[in-house]
Amino acid sequence: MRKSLMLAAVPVALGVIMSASGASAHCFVGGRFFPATLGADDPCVADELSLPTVSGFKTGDDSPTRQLDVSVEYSKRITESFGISIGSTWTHLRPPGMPSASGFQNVETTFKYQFLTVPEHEFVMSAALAVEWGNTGAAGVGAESFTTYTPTIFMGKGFGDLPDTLSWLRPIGVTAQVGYAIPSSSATISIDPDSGDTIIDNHPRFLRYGGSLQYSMPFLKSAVVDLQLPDFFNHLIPIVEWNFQTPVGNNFNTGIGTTGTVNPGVIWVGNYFQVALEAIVPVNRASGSGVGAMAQLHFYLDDIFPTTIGKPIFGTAANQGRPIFGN
Amino acid sequence: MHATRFVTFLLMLVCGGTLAQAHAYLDHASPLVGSVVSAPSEVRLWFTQALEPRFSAAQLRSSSGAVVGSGAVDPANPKEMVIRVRALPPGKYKVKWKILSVDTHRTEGDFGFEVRP
Repeated sequence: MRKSLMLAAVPVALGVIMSASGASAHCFVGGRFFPATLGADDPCVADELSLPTVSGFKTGDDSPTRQLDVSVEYSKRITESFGISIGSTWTHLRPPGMPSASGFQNVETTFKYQFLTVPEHEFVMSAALAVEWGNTGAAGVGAESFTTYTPTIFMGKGFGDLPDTLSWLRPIGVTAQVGYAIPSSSATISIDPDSGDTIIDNHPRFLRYGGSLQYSMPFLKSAVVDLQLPDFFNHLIPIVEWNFQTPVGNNFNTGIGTTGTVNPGVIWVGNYFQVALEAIVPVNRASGSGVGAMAQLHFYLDDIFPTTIGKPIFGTAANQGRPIFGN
Repeated sequence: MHATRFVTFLLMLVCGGTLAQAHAYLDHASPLVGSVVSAPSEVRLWFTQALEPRFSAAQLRSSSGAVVGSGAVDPANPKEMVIRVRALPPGKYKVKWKILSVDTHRTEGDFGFEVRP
């Protein structure tokens, strides 16, 4: 019974955490830089590498399982505004009183198109299709046998266009995303080996949504006021991320409700890489037990290798020309 | 063995990074961003990377929006831009800059300062 509960809860927890592994993008929009985020993806396409993203937390089972995830994700621009990401996560589960289990989650691929960029208002939007490929991971750690398609919309907005009377709010930026996860099959049907009964395990459709609220110290120093702080602080972006999923279809009798986490933390942004550390705070008992943590080392490949693997395969990386100033 | 390969890869990335040029950010400026000063004779901007002079520019505007000065990359230092001005009357000013770093990454930004007698 305990094991079946754990196996039922693991995919729910993984849904939350796997969406956390989708971080990406060296993202400039006008004077705004949106850092790569850990919980919710950012709204740009870019050449970058998250290696690794490490998270540790306890699942929402009655007897919580300790879970450690180590992820890697590589993102590549095909054109200036279209990119593909591929990622994988290795999971280690330590259920109380039971043998531990390890293995890879399903491989994830994301096709993303940045279709709107408004530099003067620091506004950007992208559309993506994320695909979690079924049967590419280990069932023992909760990898599903079916493929899940998640069309997703992303947006980012910086508040650098606020008037000078609100100058201290200008370093604020927000990002948001909403997606609809569609499994490739509606249910898994199996036979209970003890009773011989038919077991139907529905695959719900989920609404997945998340975002971030950021305060950019680099923006504060370069655009609002130079407080002449020690250089370390001028590279920090305090951030709160959130990530939720709610079953919205084919969830009858599954007992699955809304789950999610809120992740307060900080990102240190350098010229070639960034380092992030965030807490994982579950919003309810089904989302986890206690506070977890995650960390990420993220490389800006477009800055490290600007003339080779860090540039789009087709097209130029920059619109060269004498700058033109608007009003 | 696997750990050694992993560390080697990371070192390759980071060491490669020291050879490359990244996006250029405004590091600091004179007058300081957001400061109050007496009439400066120039506005100077220091960036984190070298700039492409032909594709980088800066403008100084008064609170009415009038352009009171234009700047270019300092020939003596490709990381600096300078806007030379006559004595600025008291008021609020805004500096807008758009630059291209030497590896073709474009960035832009603006900041203000105030001149008081």
